[in-house]
Amino acid sequence: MNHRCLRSALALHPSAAPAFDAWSALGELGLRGAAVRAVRLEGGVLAFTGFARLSGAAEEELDVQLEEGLTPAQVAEAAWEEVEDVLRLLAAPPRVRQAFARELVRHASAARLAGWGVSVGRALPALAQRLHAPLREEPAPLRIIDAILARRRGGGGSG
Amino acid sequence: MSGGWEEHEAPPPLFGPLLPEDRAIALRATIGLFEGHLPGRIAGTAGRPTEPDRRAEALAALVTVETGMAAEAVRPADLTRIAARLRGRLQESPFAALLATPSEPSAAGVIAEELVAWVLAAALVRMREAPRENAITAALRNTRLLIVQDPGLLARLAPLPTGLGALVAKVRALEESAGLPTRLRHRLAPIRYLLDRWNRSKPAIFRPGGEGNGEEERPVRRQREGDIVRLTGGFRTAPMMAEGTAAEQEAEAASGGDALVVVEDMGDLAPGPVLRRRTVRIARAVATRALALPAENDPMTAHEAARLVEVLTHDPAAPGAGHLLTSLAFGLPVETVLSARAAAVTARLRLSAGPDGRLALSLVHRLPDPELIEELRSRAAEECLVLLAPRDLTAGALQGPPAGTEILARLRPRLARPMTAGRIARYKSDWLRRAGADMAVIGFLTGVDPARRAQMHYTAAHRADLQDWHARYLGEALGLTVTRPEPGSPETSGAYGSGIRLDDDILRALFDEQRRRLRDLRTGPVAPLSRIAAAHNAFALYTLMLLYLATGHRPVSHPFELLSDIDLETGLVWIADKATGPGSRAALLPPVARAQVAAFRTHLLRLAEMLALPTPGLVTQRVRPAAVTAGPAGRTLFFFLGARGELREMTLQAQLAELADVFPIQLNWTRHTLRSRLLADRAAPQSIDALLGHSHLGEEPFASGSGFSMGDLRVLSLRIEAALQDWGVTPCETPLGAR
Repeated sequence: MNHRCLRSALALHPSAAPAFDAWSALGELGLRGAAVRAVRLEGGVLAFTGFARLSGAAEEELDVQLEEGLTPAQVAEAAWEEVEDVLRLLAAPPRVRQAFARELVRHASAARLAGWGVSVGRALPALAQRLHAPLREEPAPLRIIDAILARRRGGGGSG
Repeated sequence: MSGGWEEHEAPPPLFGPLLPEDRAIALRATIGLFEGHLPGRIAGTAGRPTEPDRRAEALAALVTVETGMAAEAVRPADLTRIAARLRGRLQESPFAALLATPSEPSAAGVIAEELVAWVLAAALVRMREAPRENAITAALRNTRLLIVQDPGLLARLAPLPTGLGALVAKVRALEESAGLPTRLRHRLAPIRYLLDRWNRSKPAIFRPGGEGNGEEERPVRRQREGDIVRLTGGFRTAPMMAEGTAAEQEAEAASGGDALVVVEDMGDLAPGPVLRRRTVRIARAVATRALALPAENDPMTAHEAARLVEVLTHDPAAPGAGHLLTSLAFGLPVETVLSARAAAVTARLRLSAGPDGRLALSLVHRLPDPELIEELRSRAAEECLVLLAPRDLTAGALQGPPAGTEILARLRPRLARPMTAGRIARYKSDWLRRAGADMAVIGFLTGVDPARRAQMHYTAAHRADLQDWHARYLGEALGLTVTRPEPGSPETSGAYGSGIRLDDDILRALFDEQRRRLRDLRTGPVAPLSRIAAAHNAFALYTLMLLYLATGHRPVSHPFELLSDIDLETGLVWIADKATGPGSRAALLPPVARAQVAAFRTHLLRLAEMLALPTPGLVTQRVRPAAVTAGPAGRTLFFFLGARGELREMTLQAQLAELADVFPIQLNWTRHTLRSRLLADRAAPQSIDALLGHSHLGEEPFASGSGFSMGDLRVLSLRIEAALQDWGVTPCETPLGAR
């Protein structure tokens, strides 16, 4: 059943909160997500997004969001958006992948981590490796006060 | 089987031997547990029966056990009984009277019950602030009469809105509806007033006095000056990092006050009324003096000063002439001149002879060492200010007895009023004040104790300026020949006073580095809570630091209280930054600060958007109310967030914790920096004092009759704007949600 509502009327289910927070690490990629959207045309139901869900067993029941009044151009745009999302994910820079790995490790249960084939002891480096963004030894970020003092020393220490 | 007598004994008290106040807390905790964790009524489904309201059951049980009354046993009959008991004595407890007002089991009756609940609640809320306010009684009484006498009018309120704001609007609409008899209008008005009062009440902002460690009890100290005893101290200090050194806080605290000592003379046989009149006269004189303490008190005129200098320089060898001239030149009482001449090398005030035999005054103002990183320290532990006497005043002039009475007597025929030692000693500060010198500068030049003058704590004055004022006084006011110290000598270079002297490049680095950190913290339109919190905290800190620096706001918990205290159009901001005592004043935000406040509001709205899905409660209860620009719904402007999106209010401790990696020096460095800078920029001294909230009794800049105007604030805000630009302080965009 379709239920359209304003985004502001929607709250997050508490059970979904940890997963949402982990997913949020990909926020800057601007993903748009994909439910199965479809239009009715000449008696048939024509899907144009939610590709991952479309290829399943023939007898599986799908929730489909039926829409009306879309032009072919809008349909094409929506379909390409979904493909672009994949492109953005695959092209995500190491920084984003590492942040994603960090949030996953923070929010996922040990069982889930184990399910991903990640040992709990080395979860973060292993997951980052899996995401093709191996963690490098990063120096701890410079405290602002240290940066100020360093600039002062560098500037000849006048005053 | 237990004995039958046990059944008649009162059950053991629920909370045992707890004291009443602890019992209240225990009761509250129990209620909180029930309300937080027990479910209300759960409707049945197929295969599961309906669950009754367990929460209500538990609460009812609590009431029964705690008070010995069955909670569910409040039947109409009980209320009728109460009403009967109150008959003829309704005025004695309007609250109980309204509670026991019978209502019909009709639609109007339901409305009545709901209205009674609202009015009783509004009365209780108001009673916490003003228990005896007549508005409470009036509303309670009129609600009761409305239910009893005019149920028809009550029905016109149906259905009663669920929100308080809507309820007030509905009552107001009914009150203003055409054709309503005046009698009924007068009945509704008090009810609407009380409800509206609750609706408009802002949440009280509590500033805990001492938070955490570093508190110190400052005992009350008595200092006798003639008939007056000055009382200082008597409060707990806040941690030094938060509000500066104990001495600073004491100078800032509302001055302790003066007490009058009436010496009881057993030999005084004056009758009672005479003694009383005499006491009143003394008290009045003391009060006048207190009012006028920093102001001029019978100042010497320029003519009198000129005659005095003429006599003193014409006959320098006359007894006491040297002492009087020294007193006049340095603004010190003759007794102080004597003690300073005899003082040890380490003394606070010392008069000594230089190599050329000329007198020089060395002053040391023991300003406490600030909490400062060693590398930022630019002051030796104890500094000294050396002022040179006019050319002809040598150490030899202070030989002999200090009696100058003969000289003063010689002057008497030439002057309209008698010359006194006190008027001579005060002339320097009076003249400097009239010439436009700052209170801190005058304090430094005349050896005032910084505990008496908060301004001195906050001011690092250029030595060149101090020497200039001293020389101008000797030359212009007294017409004496002055030799200034060599330019470039230690006496004319650097600054004197407050130990917090931050170079411009430190300030530039501070704001530069923070902006760089904010760029690193930029997020997309969606981000994990920890990232959002880090970005928000850094941005709140930047905004807060900028506003502290732009207004001289004292560091306190919940600074800049509400956004509705700031007029974004004009930049006018109302500041109330004292934990205790009066300290509220107006300031004008310079354009940079105004832009930053606007940016912070945009930031709050964006924060609300980003948190709407993961933490909707935080958004509705804290984030959006902080961005409210008018009305009662606002909550304090600044807050921090924890890594899991939990709220951390802006206490001093929270500010210090957040600053630990950014700029860990005592929080009021902004006031030190701002005051010193404005003074160096030649801003009008009374404007600086008005901005920083330093005023003395009788001279408050925002009191009625004050000559201080908005125009003065505007001039000051332009100077602050220029200073902020020199320090590289610029408005900064929110790091949230930028694609």
